[in-house]
Amino acid sequence: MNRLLIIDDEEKTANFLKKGLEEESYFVDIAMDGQSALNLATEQLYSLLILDMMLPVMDGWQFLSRFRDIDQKTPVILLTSLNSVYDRVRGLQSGADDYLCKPFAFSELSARVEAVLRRATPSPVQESFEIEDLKISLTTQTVEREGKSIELTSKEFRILCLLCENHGRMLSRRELSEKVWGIDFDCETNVVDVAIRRLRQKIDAPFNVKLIHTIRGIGYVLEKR
Amino acid sequence: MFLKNAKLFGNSIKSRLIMTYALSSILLLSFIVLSGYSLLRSEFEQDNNRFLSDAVYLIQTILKQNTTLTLDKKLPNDITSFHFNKYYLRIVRPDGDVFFESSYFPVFPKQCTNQLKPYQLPGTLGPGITCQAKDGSLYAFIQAWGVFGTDSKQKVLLQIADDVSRRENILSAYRVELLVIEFIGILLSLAISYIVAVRGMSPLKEISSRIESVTFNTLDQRITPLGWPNELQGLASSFDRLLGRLEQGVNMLSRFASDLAHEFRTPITNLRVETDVLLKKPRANEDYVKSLESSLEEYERLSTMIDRLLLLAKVEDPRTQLQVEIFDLRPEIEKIIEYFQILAEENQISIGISGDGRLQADKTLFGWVMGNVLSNAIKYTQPKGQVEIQVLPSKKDDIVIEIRDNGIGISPEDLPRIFERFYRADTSRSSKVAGAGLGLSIVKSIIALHGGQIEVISTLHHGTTVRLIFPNSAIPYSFSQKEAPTLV
Repeated sequence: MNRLLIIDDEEKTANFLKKGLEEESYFVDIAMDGQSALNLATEQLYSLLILDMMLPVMDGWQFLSRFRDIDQKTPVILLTSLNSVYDRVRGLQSGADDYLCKPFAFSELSARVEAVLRRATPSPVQESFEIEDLKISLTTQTVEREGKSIELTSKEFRILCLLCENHGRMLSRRELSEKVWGIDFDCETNVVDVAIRRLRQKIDAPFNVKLIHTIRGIGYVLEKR
Repeated sequence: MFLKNAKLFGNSIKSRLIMTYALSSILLLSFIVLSGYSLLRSEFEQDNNRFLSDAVYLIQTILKQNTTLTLDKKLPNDITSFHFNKYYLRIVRPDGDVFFESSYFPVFPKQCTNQLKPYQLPGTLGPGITCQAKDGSLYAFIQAWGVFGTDSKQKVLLQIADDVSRRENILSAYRVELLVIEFIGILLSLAISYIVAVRGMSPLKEISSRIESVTFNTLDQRITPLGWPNELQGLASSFDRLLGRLEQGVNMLSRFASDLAHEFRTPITNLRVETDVLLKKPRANEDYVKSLESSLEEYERLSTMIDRLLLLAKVEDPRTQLQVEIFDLRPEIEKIIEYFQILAEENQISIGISGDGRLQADKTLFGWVMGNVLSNAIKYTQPKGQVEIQVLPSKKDDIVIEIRDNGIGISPEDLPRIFERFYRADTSRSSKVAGAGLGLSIVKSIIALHGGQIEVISTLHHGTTVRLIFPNSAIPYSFSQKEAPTLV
């Protein structure tokens, strides 16, 4: 079981994050300032730190450099309201493992936590997914449901794989654009919605149990409800 | 040099000017007064010398012409009474005895008479000397060896003295007067230089009070047109340029703030009202879920809006540092077309591309531009329409990318306004899209930041052509790795 440390002086934010992460079955501690965070981090072995950059007294940068003096391995995810390339680069160069800009979706944070932890402990490459009656083989690139084979375009296949990889977790339109098409900017379009609609016609429409669900205004999730 | 002066005169240009003026006029005045005085004095002395030599020549002539005279006799009365009320005469025999002495001939101290060696007659006489006699008065004095009678061997010493106390009195009175005049002159020059300095400095004072009067609310005022002396014109125009830059920055910030307020009002009102209504009485669980879902949607809108406003603020800031790289246009544009392909298929719109080129630009921002322009082109093209992208061979070093559609076009009334923030030609549909109405403003600013231009040609019901013109030779900003300005 993974133990996380949240370092944030905003009590409300910290508590919500704790609640959310605990529901994803992590153990979570909270530190309100850099010094107590350092104390906690030396007493206890954490799998990952979530660090807000705006801290009183010792700010995030100072904390990070002092923490890296005593611990080079434990991954750190930065939360910040600074969204320039420069800050991103500075954060990653200072020894952070990932960088998340406020405001963020909780699902995105949890996905990053998962990804960073997975990087820390490599797992065997997945070759296939099986969710309910949906079967995907990554080696043969085939999809079938209720035993019926389904023809997908390469983009549709990619979207389906992403949804399955993140089974139960919402993917935002932005994430889908970025991971499927490599489009990392937003351009007031409903491309993702159209793509999902087409995918649904093939994956969900002919069957009783619907797997792909819409999170209004934000994104999509694949799960059995 | 500057510091030394500053110490001497205090750290004020005005007092430094006054002191400099005053000092030079004191020097000038003193020079004039001193040379005037010494000219006068030497004029007096020359006059005196002439007078004394004339007297010597006259006495000599008398002594020579009077053949009856011998050294044993006394000088006849007519000679003695002739001149000697004007000067004093003494005639000394070669053996040192006094042959003749007019009454009141001054008694000189020995060193005074020894100081002037007697001149030889006949011959020219040099200048006499001025001596103080034992009675305290000043005398001009001259002596010469003259010839007595016809016998040229009979030499006598002629001594002539002239009282110059009066002359000295005049000169000393004159000295006092000159000093008084000089003093008055100095006072006058101080006063004049003060006035000159104050007047000279007054535009400076004026300009500083003008600058003083600039406040946060009057950043639009300019001081150059008021007309300044040449020396201050440069200062005035650099100050105006500074004002211009400040004004631009303040406008940007305040526009950013009012944009925020403008765009946040609707979603926050929605959230508040919805939550208020929800909390009015107990409700079924699914009502709560529905409401929370709708809130989440609003939050997402807000986040997107912040992103867009920040992006707009960033690309409108000319100091923004671009992550410039050189890349081939074709693969980049094809990637974006691929993204929109699914949408185009859905609407049976064909997207074509021709031409190629290399561009020097910020790749992410370029993607933003292409994505938004293409998204619009597809959005406003009816089914079975066409969108054509063409990378044009360029004149000079410009890269021109043309995105042409045969869609619904833009009306002539809307066309000039499409780049305005929050301008929405069709209010009904896009009001649902978060941050809509900022897309083209951002596009325009990004292109401007690259030193390029955007042109839109459109005919209602026939289609729109957007031309993106990027300069590819020189990009007008630096790429140093200095800290980029951040806006949050």
